[in-house]
Amino acid sequence: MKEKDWEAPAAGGEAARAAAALARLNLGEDPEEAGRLEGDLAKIVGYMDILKECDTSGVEPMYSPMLDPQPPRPDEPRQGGGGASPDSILEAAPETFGRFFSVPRVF
Amino acid sequence: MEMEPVIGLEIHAQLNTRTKLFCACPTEFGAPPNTNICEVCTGQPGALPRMNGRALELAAKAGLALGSRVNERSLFSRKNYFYPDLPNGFQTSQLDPPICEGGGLEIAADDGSPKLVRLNRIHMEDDAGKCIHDEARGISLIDLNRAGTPLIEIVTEPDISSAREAVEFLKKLHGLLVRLGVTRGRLEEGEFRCDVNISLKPRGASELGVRGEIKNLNSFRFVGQAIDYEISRQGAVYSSGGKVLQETLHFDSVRGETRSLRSKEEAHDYRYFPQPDLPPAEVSPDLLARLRQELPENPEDALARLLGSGLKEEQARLILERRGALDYFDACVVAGAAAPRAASLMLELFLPFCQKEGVSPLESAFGPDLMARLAGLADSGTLGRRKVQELSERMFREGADPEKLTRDLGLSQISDEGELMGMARRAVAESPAEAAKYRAGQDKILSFFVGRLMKLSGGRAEPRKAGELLRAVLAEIPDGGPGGGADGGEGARP
Amino acid sequence: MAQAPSLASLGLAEARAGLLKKEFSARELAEACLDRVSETEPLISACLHVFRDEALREASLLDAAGPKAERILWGLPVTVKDVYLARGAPTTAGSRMLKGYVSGYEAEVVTRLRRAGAVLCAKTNLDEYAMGSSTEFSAFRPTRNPWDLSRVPGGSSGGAAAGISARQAPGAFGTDTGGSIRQPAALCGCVGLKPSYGRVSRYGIVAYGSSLDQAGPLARSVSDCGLLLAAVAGPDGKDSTSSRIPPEDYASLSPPEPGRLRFALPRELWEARFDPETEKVLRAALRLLEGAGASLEAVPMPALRFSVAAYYVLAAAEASTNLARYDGVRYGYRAPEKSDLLGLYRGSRTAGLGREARRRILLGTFALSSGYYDAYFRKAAQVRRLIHDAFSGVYKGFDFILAPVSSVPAWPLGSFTDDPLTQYQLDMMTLPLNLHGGPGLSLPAGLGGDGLPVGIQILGPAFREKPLLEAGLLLEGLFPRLPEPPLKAL
Repeated sequence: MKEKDWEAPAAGGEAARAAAALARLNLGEDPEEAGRLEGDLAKIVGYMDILKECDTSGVEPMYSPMLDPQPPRPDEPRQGGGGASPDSILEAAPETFGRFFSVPRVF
Repeated sequence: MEMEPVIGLEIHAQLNTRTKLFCACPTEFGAPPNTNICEVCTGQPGALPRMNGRALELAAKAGLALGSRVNERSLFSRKNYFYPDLPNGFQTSQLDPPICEGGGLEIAADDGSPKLVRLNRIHMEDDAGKCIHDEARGISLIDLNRAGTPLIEIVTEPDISSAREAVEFLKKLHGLLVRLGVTRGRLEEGEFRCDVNISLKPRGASELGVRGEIKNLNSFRFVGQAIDYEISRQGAVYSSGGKVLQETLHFDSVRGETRSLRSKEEAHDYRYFPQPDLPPAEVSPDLLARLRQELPENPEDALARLLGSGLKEEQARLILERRGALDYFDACVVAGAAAPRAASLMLELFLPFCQKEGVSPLESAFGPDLMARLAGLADSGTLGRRKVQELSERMFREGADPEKLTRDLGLSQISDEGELMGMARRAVAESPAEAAKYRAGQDKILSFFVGRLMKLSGGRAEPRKAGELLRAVLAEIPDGGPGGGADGGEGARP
Repeated sequence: MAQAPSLASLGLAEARAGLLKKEFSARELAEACLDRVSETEPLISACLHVFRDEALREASLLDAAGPKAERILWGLPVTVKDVYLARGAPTTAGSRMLKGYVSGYEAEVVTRLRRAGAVLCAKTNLDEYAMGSSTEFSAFRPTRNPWDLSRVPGGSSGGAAAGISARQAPGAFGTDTGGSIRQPAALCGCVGLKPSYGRVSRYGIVAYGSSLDQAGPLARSVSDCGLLLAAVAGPDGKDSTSSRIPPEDYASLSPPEPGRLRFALPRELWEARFDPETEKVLRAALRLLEGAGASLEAVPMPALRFSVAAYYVLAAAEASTNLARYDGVRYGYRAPEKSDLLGLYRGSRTAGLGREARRRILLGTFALSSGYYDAYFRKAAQVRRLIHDAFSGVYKGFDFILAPVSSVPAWPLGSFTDDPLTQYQLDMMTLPLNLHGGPGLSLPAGLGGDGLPVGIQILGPAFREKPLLEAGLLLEGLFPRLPEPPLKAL
């Protein structure tokens, strides 16, 4: 890949920080990593701008290749086993209070 | 400057299904925390959704009844945000296209004229779980039983101008959706709740003002109070030259006022995009035709029909109001009951039982054919009022045949004149002193004799006929009895 | 390293024949494979969890009941990539986030494998959440290539491919979102099949890009891949995107007449810059095929120029929300944050998710965010349509598309870990297929002069896995057969 293929990045540090906030991530584990991730993102997004060269006027977006998928299911409660039991699910929780999942207070 | 309110509503109604929208967990209310959960509704790695077909039908049905256009294909989208009661980090909702678009519901405007409140759209989505905040411990507790429960969100255009109109719209919508079986509509359980968007604008102006959104009201009364409060609050802001802020509000029902919810530290950006794990929701023309057939007649037509079959207006309204009552009533009439008798038996006896036992009419063991037979026995005078009541209780509990019960228990009313006359004579003969008092002019004593006769008949004498016959017997001149003079005296009156 | 013991070297079909004839027991076979695992793991680190006791117990149970020919994988040892949930077993997806996570339910594929009589021996290493093409982004350790231990096995199903190549097991399951089965199969010298989207249930497989992910087999021969596919293919009511189109009989294949086959060679892929050894092997393979009478024709598919960009936008967008569930609330790693929910979220996700996963989450979040959605996400979905239509157009005039799997052979560890974009661009041969949705089969074309295997792939119309496998059988017969890998650093 040649350096000149990357145009001026569309996603600068601000876009990276906004995305990180939406995704509930710290941009990096430390400032150095954060800086690197910002740079990576700018570079990658810069490359994605190649999409602008593709003429897609009037093209219907394709979101999935699914073919003859499953119809809706009947409104019937699960018959016995198969799925994860409520207790097995609670067992995997990092913290519970009684039968509740517990987290630090929301507000 | 005179300001007028502009109000739009977003109603969330829980669809009346047995299982959740995307998994087979039950939707029952009140189970112990985190018992109605599985890998799908708790967002375990690798779990995938599969849509409940019944939920789709109910959503389409709501649209049909509200005059909406039902889309043959609608798409689910992921609405992304983080909250501890949202297991996947996204809600599965519909953006474009939703299942239904357009439509409306007519209400009476404040000036009494008919007014159409237009709908923007109806879309399907899954509910979040519940978060309980434990202030003392500084923790929030999460119960995911409700996570994944199917909802429709009905979004109106801003066509509403007052609290009264909003409440009328909501009551009418609620009644309609409950009658259709689209939702159970239990407000106290959050099955029908509403957000209110409200702004003020100078009367006649076309531009809308800045709106406040009052979240999550689950009683008609609170909707009315919250709107009235918000109208005056915004009015006061404008008249003091202030600016109304676009904000999310919470209605404090204890203080009767709206309060701004603390604003989140960042703006929402839900990043909607088509949910890749679900095919489009399809409502085929065949399905749509079947759903259309299943729609009950509209309430105005039903009322006219009931009045035409001889019901009093109050009776007709009560039958229309109770869910499943009209279907039951119609079945009784088909089974041969006279309409007015079926209506009075239903309203006095049957529906109160149903309510008490929490049974819907057509599910009761006391089927319409039994009700028709009971009505026949009552109409023919075979059973008296009290006996009907006695029987109906057993019929409700056991589904027993009223004709057989009547025979088995010897309950049928005695209206045979000869039989009753014998009893009347005996009753009079056994109480000569009272007979004399009657003959002396104490008319009220007749009820004493009616009582005696009923006792002799084991309670089966037809009361009106018994009274007539007793009067006749008492009027006879007893053989050498002391009452002769009285009778003569009466006869001597000019 | 000594040659693999004879039982562990058997392919699925041969081992199956031996089991049914009771030449050896399921337990003996499992033991041979598990011994081979113990012997080779210190060199290649293909497995994250090895189930020695459970597998031997299961094999003994099968032996006690006696062979059942109708159970198509009866007594055959298999591995699954560590994104397949197996009841009661750990599943990490190669992530620190899921370290210690034990699932209460099972992937449909695993259930079907058990039903078919397979013995689950191990769960294999991968790039975290299947995001990568070298298995270096595993949070636990990198897997090494059995052909040269200083090189990567490819990825993300690198553990699966390395294990097959090193004779740890005769069959493996991986997942392919942008080449994650085909590319490691090529780099490790084995056969890998990405079935059509919707052919195999995704239920219970940790998701990366939901509209691109597909589960599929790796083995040492084409017919073995057919057997593995036969055991798991077909509709599953738990995966809404699973197709109702009935499966074909993948267990009995016969090669077609080469003279009748028309292969299209997309210019945009064949005109790429190749490693010279790779190019030599590929050209030789084309000559063999042409020599056998097949027709090969270069075709332009100009939309492929945009496939890397379109793929990474779409896959990252889907990944960004598929990975939102890893928030430290209901399972998985939770940061030791006691007072602040936002801090708990950010702390858990930043520490629990590796750098590549976070990079793709950021990219995907950005591509879906307000103001950028149309320019990136929607645009990429439109480009996907063009690429899809280009494939369909080619299949009107050709039976299959023939393409390289990778322009380079397995590379030394650490080559691209700090250069994500270059690594993304290396996927250009494989990811167009996932955008289309049809099946693709990667098989060895030969060894380069550097001693490293080179793969080639055949791509076909959706839900026509059988003719694809049969064409693969033909190619397999034409191309040179690979020896066992040396299991040392070259």
